[in-house]
Amino acid sequence: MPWTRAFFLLLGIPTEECGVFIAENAHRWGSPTLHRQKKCSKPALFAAAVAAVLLPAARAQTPAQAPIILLDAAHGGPDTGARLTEKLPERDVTIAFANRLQSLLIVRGFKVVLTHTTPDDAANLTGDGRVELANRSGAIACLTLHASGNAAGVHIFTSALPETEPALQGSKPVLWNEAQAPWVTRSLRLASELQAAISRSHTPVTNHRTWLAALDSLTCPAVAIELGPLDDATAQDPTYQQRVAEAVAGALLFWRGHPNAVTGAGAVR
Amino acid sequence: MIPRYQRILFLALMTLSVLMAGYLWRVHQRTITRLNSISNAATPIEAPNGATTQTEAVTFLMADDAAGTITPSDRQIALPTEPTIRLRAILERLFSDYGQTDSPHPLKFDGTAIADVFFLPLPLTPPKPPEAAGKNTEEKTTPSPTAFTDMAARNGYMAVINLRQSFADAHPSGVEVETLTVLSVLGTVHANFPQVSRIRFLVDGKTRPTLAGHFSLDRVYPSSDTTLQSTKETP
Repeated sequence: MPWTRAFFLLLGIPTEECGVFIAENAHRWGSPTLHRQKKCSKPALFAAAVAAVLLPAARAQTPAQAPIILLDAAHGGPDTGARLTEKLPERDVTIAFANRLQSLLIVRGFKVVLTHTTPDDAANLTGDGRVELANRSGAIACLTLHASGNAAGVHIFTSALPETEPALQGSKPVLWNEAQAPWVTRSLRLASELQAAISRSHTPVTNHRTWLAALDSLTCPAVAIELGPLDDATAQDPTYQQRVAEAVAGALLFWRGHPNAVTGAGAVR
Repeated sequence: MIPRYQRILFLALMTLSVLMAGYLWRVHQRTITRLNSISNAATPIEAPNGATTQTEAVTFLMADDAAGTITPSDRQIALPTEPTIRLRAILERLFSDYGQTDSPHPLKFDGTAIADVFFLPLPLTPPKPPEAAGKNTEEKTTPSPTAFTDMAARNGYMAVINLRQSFADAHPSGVEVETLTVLSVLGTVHANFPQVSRIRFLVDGKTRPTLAGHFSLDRVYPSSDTTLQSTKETP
């Protein structure tokens, strides 16, 4: 019964069919990895979005816990994404960049949640499934990572949804593809911090708004980062990736103490 | 020993072959002469019915991949008066410019990008029962030029842009490049059709989740000025 599961999710109780749990992965330096057990129904996903906004206590974290960063390497599995070169699919670049960024963030005291760790891990991961994992992670920042072979430099995107005040949201139901609206203001500030940091690393960077399904449903400060080619280097170039990853990690360290760096639980970390 | 009738037949066929070759060569020469006689100043092909003979200023919002910008650019082109054909002509011209090899936002596709364009009066209402619909037979789905202005003044319109699948399939994949394409279309519609308040895309008559794997194409977008100034911070 999908609505039964929806009821349990509204109470913040993961059900057997649609549960999500965080497992400490000893092989990844204590980085928690979220696993989605089975595909959720639409009502359950809708309820998850409602629960994420209305019942933040459902995912409250202990104060001593390290701040969490959610990294979603776009594409994966059969979805290869764009072709950066003839033999280089986007999914390989995004996962490499996510793993590189994860290491730098762990060193800086963050806990990192990855939606998947290898391209094959994402074989059964739907777009809604990624968002569900992110919304349950309690992250202070959710980064969706992309790569492109077209426009040069780094491109930062935030949701183009109109900004709404969380206080005005009240008890209104939240549409799954508009859950980001109350978070847009914070997402824009996060994007601004990232843009400044990447620019300081001598990398051309743009900052725009767009309509991405992966962003519009997130209930956290959310930004999409797209790596484009730079001079003779493709987005796969390790030096280029390392430079951008260090800039992003540095910006997130600053973001950690920012007043807007709040989780869905509403607590300042 | 070859029979006599075979020799005669062979000679006849040979003669025919030579004559046909000569005839083809002559036709070939005449065609070349005729094509060469056509000068560059020849009369252009007649404009289709409904096209105005006078050009008018049309604002295009042109994307630039390198700068990450969308900037307005005015061009003088001849346009028909009927709104849907007019919008289609404007968008075809926009995509035609992007199809050029030296375009700052190059898109490679075969044929035309637009399958169809139509307007829906807002708010969208369910269809009327047959008896009620019969009383208002003069009400049309596609407005006439004057009706377009009158109705738009009340509620505005939703422009539905039906793209060809061949265009969407050939579109470069990437958040930046897909965003610039769609924002360029939205801004161009807004600049030339202020009556349009909402815009929706279809691909071969169906909704499509993304344009080329990234930009959500299944939403209803507000018609607004999408001019993007350069936010590129370079070292």
